[in-house]
Formats: sequence, structure tokens, C-alpha cells
Amino acid sequence: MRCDWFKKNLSAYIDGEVNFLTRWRIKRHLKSCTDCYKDYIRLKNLRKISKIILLKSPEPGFYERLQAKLPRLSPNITLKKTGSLAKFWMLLPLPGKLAIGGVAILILFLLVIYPHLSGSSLNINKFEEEYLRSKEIFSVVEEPAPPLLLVSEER
Amino acid sequence: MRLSKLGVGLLSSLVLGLLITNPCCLADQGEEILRSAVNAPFHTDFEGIMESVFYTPTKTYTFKTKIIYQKSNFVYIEYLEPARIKGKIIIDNGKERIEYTPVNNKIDKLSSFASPKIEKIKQKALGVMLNNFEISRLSREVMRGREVYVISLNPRYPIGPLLKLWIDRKTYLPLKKEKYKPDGRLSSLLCYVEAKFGEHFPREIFYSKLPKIAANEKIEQDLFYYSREEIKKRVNFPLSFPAYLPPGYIFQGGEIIERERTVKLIYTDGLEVIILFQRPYTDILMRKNQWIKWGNLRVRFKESPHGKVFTWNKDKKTFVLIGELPLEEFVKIIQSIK
Amino acid sequence: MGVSDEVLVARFKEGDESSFKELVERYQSRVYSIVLAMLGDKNDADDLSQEVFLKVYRFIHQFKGRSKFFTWLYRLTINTCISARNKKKRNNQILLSQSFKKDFTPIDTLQNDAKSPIEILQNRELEKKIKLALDSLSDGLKEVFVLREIEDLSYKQLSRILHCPEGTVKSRLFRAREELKKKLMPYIDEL
Repeated sequence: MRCDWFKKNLSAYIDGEVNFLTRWRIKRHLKSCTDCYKDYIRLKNLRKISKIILLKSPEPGFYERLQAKLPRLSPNITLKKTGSLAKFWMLLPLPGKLAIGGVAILILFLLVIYPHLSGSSLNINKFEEEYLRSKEIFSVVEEPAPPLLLVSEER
Repeated sequence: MRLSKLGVGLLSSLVLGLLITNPCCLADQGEEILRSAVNAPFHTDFEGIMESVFYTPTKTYTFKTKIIYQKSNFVYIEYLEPARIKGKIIIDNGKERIEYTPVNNKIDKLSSFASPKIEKIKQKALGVMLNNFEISRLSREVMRGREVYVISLNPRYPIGPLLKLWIDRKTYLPLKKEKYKPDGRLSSLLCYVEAKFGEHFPREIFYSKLPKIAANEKIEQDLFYYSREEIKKRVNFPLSFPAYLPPGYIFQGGEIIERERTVKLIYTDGLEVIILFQRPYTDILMRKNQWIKWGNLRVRFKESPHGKVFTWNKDKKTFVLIGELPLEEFVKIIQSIK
Repeated sequence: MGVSDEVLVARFKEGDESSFKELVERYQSRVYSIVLAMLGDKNDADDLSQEVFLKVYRFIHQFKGRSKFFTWLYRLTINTCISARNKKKRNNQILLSQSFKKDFTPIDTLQNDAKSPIEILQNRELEKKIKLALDSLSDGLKEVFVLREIEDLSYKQLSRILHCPEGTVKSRLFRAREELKKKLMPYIDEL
């Protein structure tokens, strides 16, 4: 029973993730218990061989292969834009953030909820749906376009 | 004897070489393959999983569909991923097209995209495409154990996209499509990640996937494509048309939608489509848009994965223009609308 | 002393591609090792490691710097591995015309004991055994074990990456090691 507790904590012990009291108790126990000591050695060996086997390197030219895929994404413009926005947001004090949040809610209400209340508007979705339908019919090399449901944020 | 054999060998390789390098032959053969590819889905027994990726400047959209083609004129499409569209089903049996959307538990019935009428439209569009695009490369490759023709379609006009197709040699079914923007960036990639040919299934199993709910019938409204003159007579407000069209584009036809209140003018270069909608003034809900100002005209604009969307009001009318073209082309179209 | 991850990330966000290159070179081996250990296939590991860095490239603006860069990177790596594995499983399940005929829902025929090419080629017995033992672990146990052994991450860091309490990290590591110990007993006794 006593050994069970030690065995359960051996894994954290070899990782150095136990408090000083537990460390001291385990250290003392390992000196007197051959069974637990054997277990401790097994765990240490498992760690040693796992490390050797798990650590690998990719084939040479990893970055070059990756680079060949990068230009397709052309993120420079986006990166710069969003990067500076994020920076601005992080530097903004809390009252500023709250004020922007409030304005955003107001804009959301005016743009999304209010027009629905007035009842005389059409959603751009309807037009996009029609466009996708025609594209499938008229385009010779039929291309299953991304369903509006997937891409639209208007709903 | 040996010399004559050598002569025959040389001659045949010369003929073969000429066949391969002769651009006329290449175009003819490519045209033939393309024509067959347009019809292939309706005459093949096929089951596959297609992965589609669409790139926009800010986002990449990926989705997966199970596509089944059955002889003749039967198509079953089921959306598998992502969760937002999972379970959407399209069944087209050559007469009617059923679209089931699980999110709102709705079934829509439309006229088939494989009907003789649409087939005729597609053939016309193919002619337009062959005028606007040049078959620049034709080679053979092996893809997932199947021999395929690889065709590149180069636009004759700098505004057009470049298309690369991998077409199955035996069935002429396009197995992979890559579309590039005029600046060379990939705009879409569609590819079968699984493909199985020759399986025939009883039709009932496809319909058994649909829930038992009443369909929203829309069949009649989609079938009429009017000429410019016809459509002018059929609506009770004055219509405007663009005086400028991008190179290669033609007017395909006009439709009347939204309970006779909206006119839809369709233009195509055989590969892309531009649609100009117009109707008496109405408020259009469009989020994430930007404002563009040309003279007195204020236009709202947004970029969506399938193209650019514009909307504006002029002469007591509301316009919506959607398509995939460089911005400058849209500016010219919008400014020329009279 | 090299430039810190945070500085490289900030520079990259400003559009400096060379900082991205430095980040890739700094982490490519570790990301590759994690992916290889999670999936067990060399070809998949290369592609998927690249996918991880492509995601970094695309979504770096979503990284707000509230945690360490490597925490975010390893989370991304683990998520990419899990979705790739699920995708592979689904692909194996999805296209089965025979089952499709019987009942429109495909049947699960995925074989868990399928050997990857790397295992066939390698004749080092121990390596093979460890890989097999590792493969038999559930994703939850495997990810914590792999991250700990490859990166020597603390339980606190692991809990941040894996979004679970430190106690869970501790018990998962214990369970992972117990299972591996049982399967590899003859080999780790000998050393």
C-alpha cells in the first residue's frame, strides 16, 4: 500500500515536479525499497531511450520546401494591417476598449438589428446565392462553389 | 530489311512528334477532351470524395463533399465538412434538382442543371470559352493510379484566370482543378481525395437520406432566360445595361426573380460569370463592406470567396454587381451603366 | 544569445520574412519530432510539419502574445496532428462502396494495427517496439508524453498547451509511462 503511493509519484519525481517534502520522502524510500528503486530505474531508462528515439530532424531543405508554398498565401499586406491593429488594441487602456466595445454594439444594432425591424430591406445573401447558382449553370467547367452557408457572415 | 524497319520507326516517331508539337492538333485534341469533360459527369458511374480549397486575400475556405455520378444524368452531392455545412444534400436526376439544407431543415426544388436546356447553354458557353482561352499545354500523367490528361487553359485576355485541369483518360471526368488569378496566385484547388469508378447504386438509397418534409417548389421560375429586348418589355421599370463589357464577355441572358421585382442580367466569358441585378430602390443589407466613391456615385464593396460584390443606388434603382474580375474592370462596368 | 521568440514574432508581424525563417529553423526539428511521434509516418510528418508552419504564417496575427510563442505553436501542432489523424480515419471510413450499397452509412473498417512504412524499413528492434507502444496510447496520453519528452516542458507549461489542469497532466503522464513500461519491460530492464 505504502509503495503504491511512491510508485504513483515516481513519474512526477523524475520530472522534478514534486514539492521538497515529497522529494525527500521518495529519495529516502528509494534507498530502502528495491522494488520501487527498480521501477525508478525503469522510468529513467524509458525517458532516456524515448528522448533518443523521439528527437528527429526533417529532411534537409525543410524551409525551402515550405517557402515554395508560402507565396500563394501572400500574407504581407494582411500581416501588416492586423499586426498594427493588434498592437493598437493592446496599447489601448481599458476605458478606451470599453468605449470602442459600446460603439461597436451600437453600430451592430444600427446595421443588423434595426434594418430588420424596418422590414423593407434585402439581404445581399439572396444575390450571392443567385450568383453561385448561375455560375454553376453557365460556367463550362462546373466548379462546386463554396456554399454560401460556409462563407457568409451575413446570416 | 533492317533499314526499312528503321525507316518506318523514324517516320512514325516523326509523325508522332509532329502530332505532339503541332499546335492545331493540340488545340483540336484539347477541345475534344474539354467537350467530353463537360458531359462526362452525366455519363459516368462514379463515387468520390472531393476536397475544395478557396483562397481569398484574407481567408482560406476548405470543404469536403461526397460526389456521386450515375449513368445517366444523375448527380448526388453530400457536404461532409466542415460542421457548418455538413449534411447538405443535392440530388439532381436530370429532371429536377433537390437541395436539402439541414440548418433550416428546408428542401428546395429547382429545375435540373442537367436538363437539355441547360446542356444547350453549357455548349454555348463552351464555345465562348474556347474563343477566350487557349489550350497551352497538354500532357499525360498518372494520378492515383489513373491515367489523366493535364490541360492548361491560358486566357487570351490578361484579366482572365488560368485554369489547369486533370481529366481522367477513360471517363473524361475532371479529377483535379486548379484556378489561378491573373497575378499568378492560386485562387481555388479542387481535387478528389478518393475516387472509385464503375459502381452503380439503386436510386432509392439517395432519396432515403432526405427527411420527410414538404419541398419548397421553385421549378418554374428558373427556366426562362430572356434576351435584352424581351426582358425590357417584361418589367415595369426602366432597365439599365452596361455599355462596357470586359474583353471576351458576352450577354448570356436575363432572368426575372424575387417575385417579378428583380432583374438578373448574366454575362460570361465561358468560365467566369458576372451578374448585374437591378430593382426599384431597396435597402441592401451587406456587412463588412467598404465605401468607394466615383464622382457622385457611392458604391459599397466587399470581397467574398466567390468574387467581388458591389451595390449602389442610382436613378431610384438599386444595383448589385457580382463577379470575379480585377477592380478596374468593375469600375469601368459600373461607370458605363446607362 | 539569439533573439527571443517574441521579438521574432513581432518582427514577422511587421512583415519581416527573415524572422519567420528563423522561427521555422528554430522549431522545425521539434515540431517534426512531435508530428512524427503522434502520427508515426515519415512522409505524413514532413507534410504536416509544413502545414503547421503554414498555419503559423497565416494565423500569426491571431497570436496576441498573452502566452509564450512555443505554447501557441505546440498547441497548433497537436491540433493539426489530431485533425489529420481524424481526417485519415474518416477517409478510410468514408469511401467504401460495398458498405454504401448495404446501408448508406459507411462501416468503420479502420485497422489500428496497420504498420507504417517506416516501421517495416527499420530493423532496430527497440525503436520499432517503442513506436508501437507509443502508437497504442490514446491521443490524450500520447500528446502529453511526447511534449514532455521532446521538449522537457514543465507541468505548468503542458497544462497551458493542453488546456487541462496540472493534476491531469501529472496523472496522464503517470498513466502513459505505466502503459509504456509494461509494453517495454524487457528493454528498459536491460539498460
